[in-house]
This record gives sequence, C-alpha cells and structure tokens, in this order.
Amino acid sequence: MNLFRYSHILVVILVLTGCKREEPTSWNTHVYAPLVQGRLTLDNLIPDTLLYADDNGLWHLKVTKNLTDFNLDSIVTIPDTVIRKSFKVPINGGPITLPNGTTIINQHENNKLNINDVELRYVKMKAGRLEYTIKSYINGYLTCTYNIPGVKLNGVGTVIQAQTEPKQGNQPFVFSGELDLSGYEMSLTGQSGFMSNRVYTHLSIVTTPNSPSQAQVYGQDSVVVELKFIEPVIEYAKGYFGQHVYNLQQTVDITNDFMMPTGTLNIDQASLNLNIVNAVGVDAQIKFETLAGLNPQTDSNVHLQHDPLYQTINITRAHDNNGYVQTTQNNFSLNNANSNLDVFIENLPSQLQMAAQIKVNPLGDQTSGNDFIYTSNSLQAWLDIQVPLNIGMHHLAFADTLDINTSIELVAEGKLALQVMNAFPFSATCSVLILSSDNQVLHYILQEAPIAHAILGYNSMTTTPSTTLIQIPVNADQLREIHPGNRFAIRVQLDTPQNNEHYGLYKDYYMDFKLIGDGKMEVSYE
Amino acid sequence: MNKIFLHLAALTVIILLSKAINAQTPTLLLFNPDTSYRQSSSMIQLYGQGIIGSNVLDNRFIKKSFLGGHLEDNHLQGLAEKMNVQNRAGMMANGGIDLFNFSDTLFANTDWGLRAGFSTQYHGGISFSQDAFKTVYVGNKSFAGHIADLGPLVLNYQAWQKFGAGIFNKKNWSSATLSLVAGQQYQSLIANNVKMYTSESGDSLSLSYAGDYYRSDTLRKGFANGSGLGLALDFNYNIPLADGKSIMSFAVYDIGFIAWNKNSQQFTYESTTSWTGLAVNSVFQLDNDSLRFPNLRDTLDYTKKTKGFTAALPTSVHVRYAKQFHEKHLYEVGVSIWATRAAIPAIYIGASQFLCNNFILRERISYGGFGKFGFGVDAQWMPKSSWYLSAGTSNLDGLFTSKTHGMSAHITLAKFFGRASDNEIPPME
Repeated sequence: MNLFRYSHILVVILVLTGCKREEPTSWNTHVYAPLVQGRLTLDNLIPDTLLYADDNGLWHLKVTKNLTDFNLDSIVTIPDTVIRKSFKVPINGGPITLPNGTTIINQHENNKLNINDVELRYVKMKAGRLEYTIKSYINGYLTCTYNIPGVKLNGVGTVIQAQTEPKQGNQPFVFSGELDLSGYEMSLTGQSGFMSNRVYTHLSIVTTPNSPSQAQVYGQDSVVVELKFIEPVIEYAKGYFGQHVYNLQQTVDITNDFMMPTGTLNIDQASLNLNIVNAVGVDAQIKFETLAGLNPQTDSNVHLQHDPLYQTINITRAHDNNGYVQTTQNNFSLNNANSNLDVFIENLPSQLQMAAQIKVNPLGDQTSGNDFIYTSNSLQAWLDIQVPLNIGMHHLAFADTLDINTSIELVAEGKLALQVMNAFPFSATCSVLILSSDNQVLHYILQEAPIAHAILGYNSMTTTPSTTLIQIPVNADQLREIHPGNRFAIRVQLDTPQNNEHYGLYKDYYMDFKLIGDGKMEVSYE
Repeated sequence: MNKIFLHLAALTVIILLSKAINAQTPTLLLFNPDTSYRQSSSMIQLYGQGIIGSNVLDNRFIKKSFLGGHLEDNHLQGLAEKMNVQNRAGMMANGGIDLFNFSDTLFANTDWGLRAGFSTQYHGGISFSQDAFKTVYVGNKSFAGHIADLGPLVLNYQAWQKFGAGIFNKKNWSSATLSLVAGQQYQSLIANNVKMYTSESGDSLSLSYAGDYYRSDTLRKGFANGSGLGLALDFNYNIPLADGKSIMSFAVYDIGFIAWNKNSQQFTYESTTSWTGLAVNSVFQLDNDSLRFPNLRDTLDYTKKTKGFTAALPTSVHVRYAKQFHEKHLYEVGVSIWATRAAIPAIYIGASQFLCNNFILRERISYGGFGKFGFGVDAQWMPKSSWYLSAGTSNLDGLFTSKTHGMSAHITLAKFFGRASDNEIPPME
C-alpha cells in the first residue's frame, strides 16, 4: 500500500514532462540564397499555337482560325416530331367473336415528318431517339406488327411487334419501347419511293393464334400507334435543300484566349488569307457586309479594307464521290499593298466581327433533289494571319493576374535582388502588385522597374545582352497579404529603342533572370 | 497562471533531465553515525534527476529552446562570437523507483540483500561547430564568398527503460544490478564532413556532406514502446578505507546494449548538392503550375536501409574519494566520465556539514560534463531514521541567472519499512 501511495509522485512527474509548450521557439536568421531562376524566350510569353520561327530564326505570329460554318447545317435539321395514328376495326355493331388468327387491321401509311422548306429524301442519323407506343382498346389477345422498312440499322428495316392483351374496362392495354437512332438510316421517300419527308409504315393486327380466349370485337374499337422522334441529329442528308436567304452576324475570338497586349505596335509586313471552303452539295452566294477587327481593351475596331471581299462571292457546290467529298474553294489573299492589313493588325485585335448575307441554291433545284450535306464538314471560312515579328514597339504591355492559392507562412524583412540579363532588342519595365479581392492595390512589390535593352549587332540579328539589377524591398506587411483571395498582378511594358524602326525578334533572344533572397527570415518550431 | 505552469514545467524538466555527478551513493547513507535505518526490513526509493548544459549555450537559450519564446538577434550573435571552433551541449534525465530488501540473507551472508527497480532514462547530446551554429541561428549572409564548415556534427539521443534486479551490501551500499532494457527511441547522426559554400552574389549555394544517420522504428512512439530490447549492468562499489573515515567509490552505469528492431533505419549521406534557385520558365503560366520549393530532404542524396542494428548504451564511470575530517565535516573529490562526444569528464570538489545527526548540507564546485563551472548545493535528511529525503542542484547559479550554462536538479524520497531485529547490521567500519 505504501508503494502505491508514493507512486503518484512519479506519475505526476511523468505527466508534467508531457506538457505542451504554449509558444513556438523562434529566431531570425539572415538568409542569402537564390530563390528562383529561369530563362524567358518569346514562346514563353506567347502561346505556341500563335508562334513559329522561320529558317532564319525570325519569330512569326500566326493565327489560324475557322471563323464560321455559316450555319448551313441548320437548314437540314429535323425537329422533334410526333406521329399519332388511330386504326379502327372496319365493322359495325358487335360484339363479334373473332376466331384466333383472324386479321383485323392491315394498313399502309406515309407519315410526314415535321420538316419545312426542305425536301429530304434520305438522312443518316448521328443521334436521337424514337419512342413508340401501341395502345389496344380491343377486348382480345392481339398480335400487332408495325413495319417501318425505311428506317434501317445496318441495312435491316425496323419491325416493332407487340403481343397485346384485352383492355380492362375502358383502360387500353399499352405496349411501349424506344430505339436509339444513332447510326440509323432513314429513307424519306414514302411507299412509292418518289416522295420526300415521308416515313412509310405498315401495320398488321391479327387475333393471336392459340390465345386462351377469342376476341370480342365491336365496330369502332381501335388500336392507337404513336411514334415520337426526339432530339434527332442528322449526320448526312440528301434531297433538295430549298432556296434560302439569311443573315449571319458573329463575333469570333481569334487569339484563343491569349490576352493581347496594349500599346503601340508597328509592323513591317503581314499577310492574311481568307479561304472559304465548301463541302456541301449546294450552290451558294455570300456577301460580306462587315469584317472588322475589335480590340476590346481599347474598344476600337478597324474594318478590313479589300474590295473583292465585299462583292458577291459565288460558291460552287461540292461533289460527293461515294463518301469522298470534293470541296470547292474561294481564296482571298490580303497584304499591306492591297489592303489596310497593317493598320488592321496594329490595332491588336483579339476578336473579329463579321456580318454577311448567305443565299442557298440561288438558282433553285439544279440537281433534281441531289443536294447533300455532311454536317460535320460543311461550308467554312478559314482565316490565316501571318506577321513576321520585325516590329517596333512603344509601351506594348502584357498584363496578367495570378490567383494566390496558398498562404506564405513566412515572416521576413529584407530585400530581393532581381538580376536580369536581357538579350532582346527592347527594353522593359516591370510592375508586380498585390491586389485585394475587390481589385484594390494593397502593395507594389515592383513599380515600373526598368530593364535595359540589349545592344543590336552589326547584322541586326545578334545582340549583346545587357544586365540589370533590381532591388526589391520585402517586409512582413507585404508577405501577410499573400493569401488566398488576393492576387498578383503582373505588367510588363516593352519598348524598342525607336518606335518607327523595325527590329527582328529572333529565336535566340532570351531574358535570363535570377531572384536572390537577402533578408532576415523568422524560423520557428513548435 | 500560464507563467506558473511554465515554471512548473521548467522545474519538472530540470528535475528529470539527468543522471549526473550525484549518481553515486548519497554521503548521508555512507557516513551517518545513526545506522538504525539498517534494521529496517525494506526501503522504497523514488527519485528523479536531470541535467542540461553546454559549454557555450546559456540558460536563456536553453530555456527558450525547450519552453518556447523568441531568441533575440543580439543574444544569438553574442553566443556565436564567443563560441569555440567545436562546441557541445547535452542533457540527461532519469526517474525511477527502487526496492531494497534488508531482511534477506543472500547465500547465508547477512551483509547482502536483494534489490529491484524500474527506471526510465533519457540521454541526448550534440557536438557542433561554430559555423554550424552561425549558419542556423545567425544566417549564411556572413559566409558570402566563403565556406562554412558545418562539421563535425554529432547528434545523438537515446531513451530507454530498465527493469532491474540485483544485490546490494547493507553496510556500504555497494551493489550490482542486471537490467532488462526496453528501447524507446534512438537517433544518431555523425557527419564529420559538412561544408556549405555561399557565393559572393548569393546566386548559388553548394553543400557537400558525408555522414551516417541511424534511427529506431518511427512507427512506434511513446513510453516503453518496445522498439528495442537489451541488457544493462550497473555497478556501485564503495570501499571503506583503513582509516575508518574515508571511502573510495567506483560506479559504472549502463554497461550494455539495445538491439533495435528490424524496422529501424540507416541513412548514409555522401554527396554534393548545388542550389541555384527554382527553375521557372513559364512565369506567365504560373496559375497552371504548382510553385513548390523543394525541402532539404528532397535535395539530399542518400542511401537508406531498413534493418535492425545494435547500439551501446551511453555508459558512465564515476570515481569519488570522500573523507570525514571531523565528525561534523566531510570533504570529497571526484570525477565522472560519459561515453559521449557531447560531454567532457566532469571533476568536482565538495564539502559537507552535519548540521545534526540526520541532516547534511553539501556544497560542490564542478567543471566539465556538458557545461562549464557549476556551484551546487544539496541537502540530505533522514528524519527518525525512517525517511530519507534529498534535494539539490549542481548548478545553483542556473536557478538565478540566465547567463550561466546549465541547469540541474535532483530529488530523492525514500521510506524505510519495518524492523529486522533478527538481522541487525553493525555500523560501517
């Protein structure tokens, strides 16, 4: 017992050794170390898809964009369609007892789809559903066979067969199902083979052989068949697509979300190709009313001036050789000499505004209903801009913001030294800010820090890099603002020595940078 | 309230951190003219001892390192400037319970009895260079354009529990104990060659290193977790000299080993690593990347083996000569040696006064061990010969000022039970 009495002293001592400290141990240590280093070339600033270097190493800006499909596939769409037919027993009075195996209804139908202005003879479906329902109001066991020979999958027509049971009071027996129309072909020429927009069906209703009871039929008893085409999408269509005139108005992003710079750009030369490619079996006419480059940052737009573009363009139909489509093309080449292309590009547009009028089949049905369209490849306008980067720049500014995803658990006071070795023939000023969630400037980390340009060599291609050292004070207040919700804003402004002269930007040009930390940092441990 | 708790915690740490130069048999038990306690049938002893110290780090640094707080720049700068090329710091602590059975007669020898005990032990030390301290606590700026010699860097820490049984001499307290050892934790880093170069412009760092690091099973944590198993022997030999007033004491503790289990790890480092900054080329696409700086472990090259190993316990040897010059005065001199690079042999000289038959006040001056000079006092009291109380410190100055280089404390509480009248032991001669 005495041992037990005194052992509590040891227990208390042991428990106390496990007590936790209420504050961490911390101290400030002077860190002098490289933090970040890297090399910037032009393809780090501009996406690869917008840039390529030629054989001389000169960078070219390249924009290739499918501007529009002129909405041509919209004229051959099939809207959702419901076909509902009621087939009545062709007798009067009743009840009449019919022996098993007796044919009650044998009906052929041409069902019109809800299509206007277009005479389709054949379509192949990319997607959609066909829901069917058979309701029997007859007091007997029936075998219903609904044949849709023109709706085929892998060359086999569709047959819907239902074994219906006698109605219950006034409630019909209901049989229903659904087909996925993907891959289905539909002949829309009706029973005769010379019609359009028609689905041929044949309904046969027979009292079921070997049924447990014979059918008791009244005159006017009926069987109702309902077909629903839901969200049908056409992959291929053939027929006469009709005469149509419609207007197109579109604004297209031509820089793939790349944030275009602001400022003044002076280019030496440029080329633009507009290629209208027709893979549809229709004739058409296009008349552009507007083609303008829009710079949303400055809200300025420049109309592209090139007379042939604004005249009526006759589009010849394509030819379908058993699935291989021979397209027709209308090509327009623009340059500084035959257009205002340099002004158009110097506006630094990121969007192209288009307005055009399109006429389909202006001469009517020239092929006796053999217009065709593959909806995945119809009438398209391709834009191809190429600008050799032999340029002058004045305050050409790239800006971006970076969301801050993590907090910096760092208490420090000192400076960062940014060493920059610039081999580009342009100078730059850098600004880095911390923005609050409501875009208020909280701190300037860098405010228009200048970076000197390289010295151009005798051949105007090589440069002698310049070195710039930028001191960036860092304090605890700045570091505290680096947390989720706030953002970094970075702005780099570029200037060539002479704005009105052109300087080539070559693949070998680079900007090396090193960021060195030189300050007291708090170290702590729990 | 928080301060009170912190002081309590600090006191507790000090008490538990050690097995120091007070490890040998208490002088009161050896020299007390009242030997009636030996007629007891048994004694139970609870004890806790601790010491922490350094030859360069002061108590302000030690307290904040263990209890938390901000280490001021000028304090750290002052410590760095006063350092030797190679420095040391360490701690030891133990606590336990012992049972002494006076009623036994061992092999028909009435002088010897059986003893048993349980104790928990903690032992850690570090030997470090001035450059290593400056790099970590002051920074590498002062080494720009130079090489900082961070080695030799030796760090060890070992924690274990002992379950022991043995014999003891009832007249002179000599004893021998064999213990089963349960290993709790082991870490050992020996890096003799570690150099860091900081370039003049700060645009590169280079670290070359060679060393070995051993650690026990990291999946097992806490007290008596069974990460290792071993044996230990403790000897304590007190020799009464012919004059009848002197005693020569030899003690060796923790001769033994622990075999750490197969989940233990061995790391071997030997490489050179350079750092020129995190490579970031697509700065305008940072939002798509995760900008993460590698930690030190990512950048070091090492080979790792997971397997068991055997490590020796940190054995200590203690020698003491004590002489009673007068019935009221006792003097002693001694030396303690530990098998660690973090401590040098500690020598001490002390005087004790019998303020009454059952009460001794002792003063000591010591030098060495983990720290430097220490002035210690303790009191030993045996009220009614049925209790034994002892408390004291080897670093009295450490309780009053933060400028000294160590702290220590020890406390013992023992109770004698019963009377073995048929086993009366004569006074020591």
